Amino acid sequence: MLSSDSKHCIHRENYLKMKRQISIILLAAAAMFGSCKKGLDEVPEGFLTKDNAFTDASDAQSAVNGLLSALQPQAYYQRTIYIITECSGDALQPIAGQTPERLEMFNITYNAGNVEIRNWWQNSYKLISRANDIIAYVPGIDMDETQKKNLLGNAYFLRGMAYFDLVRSFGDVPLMLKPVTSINDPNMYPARTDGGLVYKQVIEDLKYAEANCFPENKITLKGMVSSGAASAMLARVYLQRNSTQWKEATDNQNALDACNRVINSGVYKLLDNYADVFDCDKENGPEHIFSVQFGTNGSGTTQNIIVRMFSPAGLGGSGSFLTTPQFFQKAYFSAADTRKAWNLSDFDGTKKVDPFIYKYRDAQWAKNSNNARNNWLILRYADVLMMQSEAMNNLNPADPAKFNGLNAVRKRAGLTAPEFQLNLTNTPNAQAFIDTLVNDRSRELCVEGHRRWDLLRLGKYKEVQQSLGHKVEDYQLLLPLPQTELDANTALKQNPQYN
Amino acid sequence: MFSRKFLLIVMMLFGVLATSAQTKKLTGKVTGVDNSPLPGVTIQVAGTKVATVTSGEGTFTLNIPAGVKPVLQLSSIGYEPLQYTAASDNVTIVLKEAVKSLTDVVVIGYGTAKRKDLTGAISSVPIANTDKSPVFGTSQLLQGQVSGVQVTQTNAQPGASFSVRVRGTNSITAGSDPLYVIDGYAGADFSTINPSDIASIDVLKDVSATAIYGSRGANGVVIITTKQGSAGRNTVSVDFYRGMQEVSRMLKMMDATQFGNYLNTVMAYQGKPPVYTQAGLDTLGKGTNWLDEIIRTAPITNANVSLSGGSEGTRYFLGASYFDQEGIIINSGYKRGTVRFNLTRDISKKVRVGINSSLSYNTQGLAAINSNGGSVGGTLLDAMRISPIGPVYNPDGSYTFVGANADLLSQIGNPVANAMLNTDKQKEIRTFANIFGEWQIIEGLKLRSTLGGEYRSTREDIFHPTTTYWGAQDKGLASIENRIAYNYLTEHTLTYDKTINKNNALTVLAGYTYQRWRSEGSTNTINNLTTNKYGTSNMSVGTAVPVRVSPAENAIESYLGRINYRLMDKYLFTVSMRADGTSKFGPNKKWGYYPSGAFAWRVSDEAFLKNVKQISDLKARVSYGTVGNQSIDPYLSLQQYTTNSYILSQGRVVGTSANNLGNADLGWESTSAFDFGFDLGLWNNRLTLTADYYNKQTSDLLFNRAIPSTSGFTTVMANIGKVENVGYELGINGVIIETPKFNWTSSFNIATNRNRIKSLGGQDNIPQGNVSSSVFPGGQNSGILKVGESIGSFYGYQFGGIWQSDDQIKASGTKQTVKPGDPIYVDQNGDGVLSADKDRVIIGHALPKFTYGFTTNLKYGPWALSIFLQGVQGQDILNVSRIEMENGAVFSNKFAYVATDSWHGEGTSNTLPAIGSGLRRSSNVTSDIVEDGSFLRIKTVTLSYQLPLPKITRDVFKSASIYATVQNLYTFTNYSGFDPEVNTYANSFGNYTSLNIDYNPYPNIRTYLVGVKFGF
Repeated sequence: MLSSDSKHCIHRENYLKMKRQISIILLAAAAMFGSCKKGLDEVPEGFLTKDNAFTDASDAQSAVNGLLSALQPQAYYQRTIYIITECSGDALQPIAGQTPERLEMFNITYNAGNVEIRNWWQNSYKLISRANDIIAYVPGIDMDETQKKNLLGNAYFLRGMAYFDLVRSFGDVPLMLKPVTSINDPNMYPARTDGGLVYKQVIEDLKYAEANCFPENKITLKGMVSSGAASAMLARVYLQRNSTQWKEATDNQNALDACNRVINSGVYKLLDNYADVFDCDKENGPEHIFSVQFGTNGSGTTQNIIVRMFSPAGLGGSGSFLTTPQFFQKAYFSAADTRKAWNLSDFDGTKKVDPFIYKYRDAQWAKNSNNARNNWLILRYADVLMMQSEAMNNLNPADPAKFNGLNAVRKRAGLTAPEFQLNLTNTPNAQAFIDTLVNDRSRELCVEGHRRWDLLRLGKYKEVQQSLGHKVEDYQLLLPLPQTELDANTALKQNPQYN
Repeated sequence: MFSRKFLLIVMMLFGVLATSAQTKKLTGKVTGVDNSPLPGVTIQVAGTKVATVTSGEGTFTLNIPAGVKPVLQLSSIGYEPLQYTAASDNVTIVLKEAVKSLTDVVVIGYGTAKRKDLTGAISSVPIANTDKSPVFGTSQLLQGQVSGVQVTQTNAQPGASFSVRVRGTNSITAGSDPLYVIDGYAGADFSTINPSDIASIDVLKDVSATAIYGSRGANGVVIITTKQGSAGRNTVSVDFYRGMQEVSRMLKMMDATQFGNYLNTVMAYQGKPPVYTQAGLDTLGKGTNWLDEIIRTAPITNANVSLSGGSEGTRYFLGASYFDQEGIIINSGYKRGTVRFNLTRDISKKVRVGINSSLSYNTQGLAAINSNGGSVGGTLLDAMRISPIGPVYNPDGSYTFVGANADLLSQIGNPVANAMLNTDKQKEIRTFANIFGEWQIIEGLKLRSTLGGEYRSTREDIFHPTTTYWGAQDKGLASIENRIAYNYLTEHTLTYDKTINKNNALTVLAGYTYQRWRSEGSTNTINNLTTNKYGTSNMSVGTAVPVRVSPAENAIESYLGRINYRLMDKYLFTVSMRADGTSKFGPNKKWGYYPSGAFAWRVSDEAFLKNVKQISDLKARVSYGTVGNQSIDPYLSLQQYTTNSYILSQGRVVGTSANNLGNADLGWESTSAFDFGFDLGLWNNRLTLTADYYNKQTSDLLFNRAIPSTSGFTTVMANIGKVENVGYELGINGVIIETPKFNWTSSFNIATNRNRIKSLGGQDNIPQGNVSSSVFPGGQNSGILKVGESIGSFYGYQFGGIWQSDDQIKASGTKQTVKPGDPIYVDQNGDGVLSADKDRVIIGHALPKFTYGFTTNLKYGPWALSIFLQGVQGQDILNVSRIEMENGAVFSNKFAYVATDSWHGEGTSNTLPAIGSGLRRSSNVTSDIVEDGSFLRIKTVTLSYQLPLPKITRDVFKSASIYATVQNLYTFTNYSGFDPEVNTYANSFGNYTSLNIDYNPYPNIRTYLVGVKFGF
């Protein structure tokens, strides 16, 4: 037996040995895992951050591509565009029995809960925020200055276009000109800015684009914004503003000048054949000024659901939208007009069906799929010709040259006979001109996303809605701000009477 | 064979020992009270190192050194230790079973404890029950067995996952799944573990138990321990069963004649000419029953072999299993093979090393179940809604392309062709290994270090030939996805166990852990196929879609500590603390700290209860602490610029855009919880009862907070909001009759949980919940998160019967355009119009009022009967399928009763609208499709018979039994869908609160099995 002292001693020895061993273990562990401290930092792999997303010229192009892609969602320029602008017009009607938000747009019973109005608002601001990113960060990139300004012009154009959509839809809207970078950003909860200031910003943005974007014939990547597109959009903005409380005396002249810059550039022309404008194999042609691009099935790109939406079941579509019987029967007054047969139909290949919009077709489309190639046309030359006529009529109704643009568009459609050509005899005054213009535009630009704005601008909205049996109150000429937005931002006030 | 050799070796060893010293030979046998031999009992001669273990026959031989008293110390798990003085050279020793459950060892986080010393609410799953009835997956082991744990099958697709909730749903956006710890490995994969390999499952429910898992403890912790051999026994067990499965409930659709009449009624409703003349109708007959065509009875097979045992210092378990479940939908199924190997070895008295490892391989043929609906509805949905008029096959034997009436109904592809020709096959291999070393540094102080990893590799092949309706959409599609995911974990813990004196005992734990996860995947897809001949074997025969890759990585680093203190064996204290750092959170919020404390009082050990013989155990427990949740995707604190695509000059170009708003302050979701409970045992624990009350307050919810979309983004991941869960749990176990011949035990558990949203960060409500965007094209939500209400509240218009007449419509003053036969939706504010923002109300609650389970086991001689019932009471289900199959969507096939029960004139129905009315669908979510989903299910019934084995076989097998089992025998419910246990959307990130929605899930099954089991 050991004495208790020596026992203690051995214990102590053991204890020291143990302590040493533990120290070694802990040191080893510390060495092994000391390096783990950095292991809690996240290292991005499949994505970039602000620090490395804007470093060279290819980044700037990639950012603009990303900006353009924001136009493509169904909830924006793939479908929502015509639910907002055409369902609330007179040519496009959602089928009964589903999707209340489409019927609300058609019946003019929309309120703050309407999902499509929310889509329209949210995706407009998404486009704006992507444009703001480019406008804020691309100037710091070291690259060719001309190309840099061209790319910035694309961003300014799309920002201007989005604000134009917003101001004519909602009136006063928050004016965001810088990226929001965190929850605590001072611009996180903006109030509404006066519509007049919004229009001014739109024009300023489009002027930058006009001055800095490449002309169409210098653009190597077809589908990007051209200076001609900016001119044409400027004309549209001036004309629309001229119909609002924010109008300025120079608006008509500015609109005319902008149209003339497009026309005189010599870059654009009317295609000989109306159908060719919508031919998926002839996209980005001489009549196309700016379009949202959609790709080919299987190319890893976004395709357009439009053919499916409009085609009846017999053609392999969902038949979700029809044209109104009134429009089908009355819009085209002459059998000579080639546009009716292209734009509308009541035959699905085997039998008679409810009339539908037939103009969007794609020979490569797989039936029942969302995969059509059709671009969505935002600006085309026929529109510019008609805008030129409209501006001239506004400036000087007695000017016989004001018919030139409109008549050229009629002529291309097959209305070549003298009685179908307009002049001061058959269209003696400014109002008579407007009365025919509103229908001419609808025949030519049928379901291309203009009807609501045309009717509002030309003062025909209530009259046309009445013909469909819809009662429109003044307050409904502006759309309600989405309820979700009001909930998220108490600095915003709803438009009057939407409660 | 094996055991004989082993015995030989043991005997030889003893032989060596016998000749090496002057000894006295002592032989004997150890039995239980019922005289059955007890193998594996450790016997040590007191005061010496002489020890042995009893054989398979319970016998032993010892050589008592000269001059030593033959005092034997016997010990065996589950038996009371015994000190026995041998009075002769050949003795028979009887061991008494330990008082039930008290001495059971329960696995707690980073250690074990005796049940009597627990301070937390920890439930052990009675694995013995499931030993009697086979289960198909490990989640099923938990179902209905433990109070406060709700297990819901998301769908019955073979190999599909379950949703497991411990004490309610805490989180809204982040996951609410518990943490799984397998053999000490936290965050282990749990889906492919072979149920037969499991030795025990302990569910840590209260915060004092889970706080040691810190940031991952908020949703409860499920601790699984796999089997290990025991020294001295070599055990072989073999289990095989085979059975067949059928759909537990079939729904009846219209036949061709009924459907033809239906279409004519729809046309009449729309003021159009009929589709069929009477002569035409007369030719239709029954048509095709598409559900019968795609649903079959399918076999299921399971085989399981394991080998375990050990000798002095070495223990092993080797198990292998094969499971083959064909699906009840044609061309679907699941196969799984697993191997497990566990080994421990004592290198010296103080050092033990070991490994737990497993390997599994599974293949899955997935039926096309599409919960989004739309034109390609998937096999089941399409079989329900396709016109019964068309045939399955063309006259030449090929599949028809689309159903009949394709110009009227939107086209629906042939679901049989969809099931047979469109394939989706997954193959997966998973490996797991965890090595550990334990070093007893001094008496009571132990260092345990582990290093382990899990690796998973998956390949999924999808092929849609051009000949199917689905394939035609892409002009043929083939896709191969490869995914790998791995994680590794290293843990180092020091445990100091010290009994200071009779009245004071202490266990101290300190530890460090680091775990890192990585996943990588890539998907190759081609479409526009030039040929269907290759499937996915040649990816050059089409147009390549850009390859998608998806790397992601995250890590957790932790420090933990715990002190358990026992005062006079009556007063038990636990305090614990964990610090977790995770990569997922913002730079300002990486670290979180989780303290907890608990106290338990063993009242039954107090003097004033010692004399109350009826009370064998009484313990009161109370605990409080904080735990966290970090179940979100990585990188959410960063603003991510991700790629997208556009088309320029007719070609694809790549774009880059900000995809979210970053949040540097993104941090933990934390749950503070209080628990009070008691454990009571009566009559020597023949009746035990455990009851708990808890109150959990979850705050800083990880939540996609709505922000003004003027920022360019609609939400940002942030910590806002509070959710409360308050509940009661009760578990009762009883031995009702216990005689050598007849034995009857029962157990019952019941739990109720009340969930309430207390704050949504300043907002009053947020619409939430996924529903098919094709049924509700406007992208409406199924429900609402509203302050004061529970998660999973359905939100929509309240159904008020059917408009019976024009007079009634006129008298009501409604400004809606409705006609008789349309459903009435209540105009809550009485302004005459139905508006989404003013007239929708909460119309149902997905979360149940209470859940319960009941098990009873009867044993009479060789016969045993086990019955397990499981129930859920007071849950509502949103039966979305009824919009398409009953009323709302006009142009698809309908349930057969729609033909007869629909409104067809005043007074004919006040529940089912007129055929042709589309108002229900255009009103989105409405209360007439919300149903009571309460059910009581006879989940399993098993009858088994112990085979009388001839003595000669005893060397091979000690026991053999045959059994027959029925699963899902019958369900008592008023629910009208396939099955009330349904959760179409709730198992994916972003959808955790889309509860109890029924939209064409894989239908539930009833299974009949027979099996045979041999044990050594």
